[in-house]
Parts: sequence; structure tokens; C-alpha cells
Amino acid sequence: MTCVRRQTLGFCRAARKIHARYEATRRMQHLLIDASRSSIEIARTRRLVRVTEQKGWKLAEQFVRTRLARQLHQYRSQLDSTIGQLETQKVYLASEAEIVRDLIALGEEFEQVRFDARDDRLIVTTLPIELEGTWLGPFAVGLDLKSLSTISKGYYDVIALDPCPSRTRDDVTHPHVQSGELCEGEAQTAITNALKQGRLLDFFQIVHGVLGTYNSSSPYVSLDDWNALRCNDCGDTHSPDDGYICGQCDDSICSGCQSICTTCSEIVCGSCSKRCESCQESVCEKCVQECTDCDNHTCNDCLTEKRCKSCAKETEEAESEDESGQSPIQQHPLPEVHADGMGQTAVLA
Amino acid sequence: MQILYINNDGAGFADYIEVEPGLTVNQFFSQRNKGLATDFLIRVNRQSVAANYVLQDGDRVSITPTKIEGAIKGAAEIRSSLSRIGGRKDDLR
Repeated sequence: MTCVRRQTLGFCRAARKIHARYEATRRMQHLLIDASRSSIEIARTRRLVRVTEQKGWKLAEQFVRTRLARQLHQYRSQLDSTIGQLETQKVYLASEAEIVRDLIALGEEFEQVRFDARDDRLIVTTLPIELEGTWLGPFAVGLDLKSLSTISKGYYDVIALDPCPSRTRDDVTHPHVQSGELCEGEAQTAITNALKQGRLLDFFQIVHGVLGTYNSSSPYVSLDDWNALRCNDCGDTHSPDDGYICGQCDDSICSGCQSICTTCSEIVCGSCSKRCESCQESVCEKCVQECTDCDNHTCNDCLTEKRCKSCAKETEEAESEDESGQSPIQQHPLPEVHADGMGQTAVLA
Repeated sequence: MQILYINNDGAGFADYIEVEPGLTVNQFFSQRNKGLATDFLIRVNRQSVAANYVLQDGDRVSITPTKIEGAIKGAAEIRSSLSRIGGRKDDLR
């Protein structure tokens, strides 16, 4: 059996399964229409409201009114959903043969088409994508056929096969893809309608059209900042040429936040930089110590026997006092002062 | 004669329409779209065809833009609201 024939047979099997999914969706619509029989329940609840009103049963009336409101809300959403599904499918719904032709065409238009029967997923691989000179690599668009009936969030994902995410956000592999989810923008309705009608070729072509286009007004990360680094101090982005790496923690920092240690000349970030309380110069963590007396940060240049300048001075003065046996005041006595009346007592005549 | 016309521009729809016999793909595109043909993938029965291909009864013609702008969720809705109230696209930045 030739490779092409085997592939076509595979597509036929896949199309049968996909079509069965669409048929299940169609059956579900009938169920939804049948579900409109809930209008009978609504009529019953309305009767109950009337009875409770007539009887003056306030508490019961409140209870059935709440139930009626809930039933009406449910009924409305059921009708909206059914109308929406009927309107989009009344014009066109792909047959099994159409789906086979779509799958064959997908195989011709895209790098690879694969049907994962176990997970019920149709996976199409694109050619490598490059936007405005930024290489993003190929993407795998995986359609979850189990979710076809709802066409709700997460029914397909877009996974970078050779991820080149933005430097600031690992989860953004394309300006319009975050955590594998494509933000469809202008394509949203076209994608939904293509899927609802079983037009798989159109669906993948539209998704590919979005992946191949850069909307500079609304990206997760703009291409200008794609290779930019985020400063760990201020949070702003900067180009790799305009940034620095902290010599202590290896964090990326911008030129505005970097500081140079005055002792060892190493470039450090704000977290790894300390200010010497004695000389007020910026120093790195390696070149700073805490004064053993006052715990103030002190650079190595200002340290004297592990003390900052002021504590060292105080210690020096205390030591010299000890040596002379007198306090500094006693060494330099102040002139005697006699206060008026001090030590005198009034004597009665 | 009747063809299946699939327009993936905008909302995207598929519908059977009547066209006059002898109509070429190029003429059909000009009737239906204002843009340049080079900005669209035009397929007849899922295949690329020459611009002067004459449409046949029962053909499936799909027109898909090659450039479709994605956006952060909600931005498209905000943009359309802005345009309704006279705001500018740049206001979103």
C-alpha cells in the first residue's frame, strides 16, 4: 500500500469520526429544542405564583417567584443557544466527504496533519513563522474534537514546537499567543463559524492567517520588546545592549538601576547594594559589614576593628579614659560655679 | 448556476449563491471584495486556480484573508466601542 493511499485512508477514518462528532452536536440541538419543554414547568410555576398571591402566602409566593425567575433565565439561555446554533448551521454543514477533502487539502497546505484518535485531536503543524524579523518557529494547532459540541474556551490550542518566547514572559510564544491560547481578535467570529460548520480547512487557514500577522496595537508582548530584558529592580524593559547583570545575584538590571561598588568596582543591583552609613557611598554586599556595636552597614574602608567610624571613636575615647583612670570631664575640669543660696538655710531671728 | 461561496473575511460565512455562467474567479473576487487579490487565499474546490479560471456549477469558492489581526482578549470589543464613540485606535495603547 502506498504512503499516499494509507494517508488518505487515515483521513477517511478521521473524517468519519469528526463527522460523527458533528452529528452528535446536531442531535444535541434537538435535545435543546426538546428541552424547551421546560416551558411547561414555567407555566406550572406561574400558576403556583398566582395561587400563592390569591391565598396571601407571602413566604411561599417569594419562594415560587424566585424559582420562576431562575427557570425563565435558563429557558432564555437555552433558546439563545438553540437559535444561535440553528442559524449558523442552517446554511451549511460539511458532509463526511467534505471533511475528507478538507483533510487532504490540509495535508497539501500545511507541513503536517495528524489525527490523534486516542485523544480525539486533529493537529496541524505550520511552517516556521517569522514576524518582522523575529523568529517564532513552527506552531502546532491542535483541535480538540471532544469540545466541538460546545465551541467554548479551550477547544483548540496553539503550541510552539520550537519555542522562542519573549524574554520577559515565558508563556508568550507569539505576540498573540499566551499559554497556548490564541487571541483571535478580528478572526474570532470567522473561526467560530468555520468550526461550527465543519469547515476544518478554513479554520486552520484562518488561525494560520492570525499567526502570520502582527497587530502592533494589541500584542501580549510587542515585537519591539520581544528580546528585551526586564529590569528586576524597576520592572521596566531594556534592550540587552543597555542592561547589566548584577555581579552578586545575576539578575538583569537596567542602566538606571545599576550601581557600582566603590570598594571593589563590581556592578550590582539594588537588592545587592548597601549604603555605608559612615561615608554614604554605595557598596556591594561583599564589601559591607555590620558594625558590631550599632549594626549599621559600614564599608570595609570605614571599618575599624569591625566598628563603624562613630562607634570606633567612642570606643577609642572610652579606652583612653580607662587608661588615665579619669573621665574625660575630670581630665579637663570645668571652672567651679557656686549657685546663689546653695547650702544656705534661712535662720529665724 | 449555483456555487458554494465561503467568505472568511469578517464574520465568515458559507452560502450557496447564484452566479452568471462564464464568470471568472478574478471577476467574482472583484464583485465580492474591495481588497487586493494578493491579500487573500482564493481557492476553488480547495485548490489554487488561475485568475481566469471560469467558475463551474457546484464549485466551492473560498476567500480567506492572509493577514488577520489577532489581539488581546477584549481589545477588539473595546476598539469597536471606541470607534462607535469616536475614539481612536491609539487610545488603547
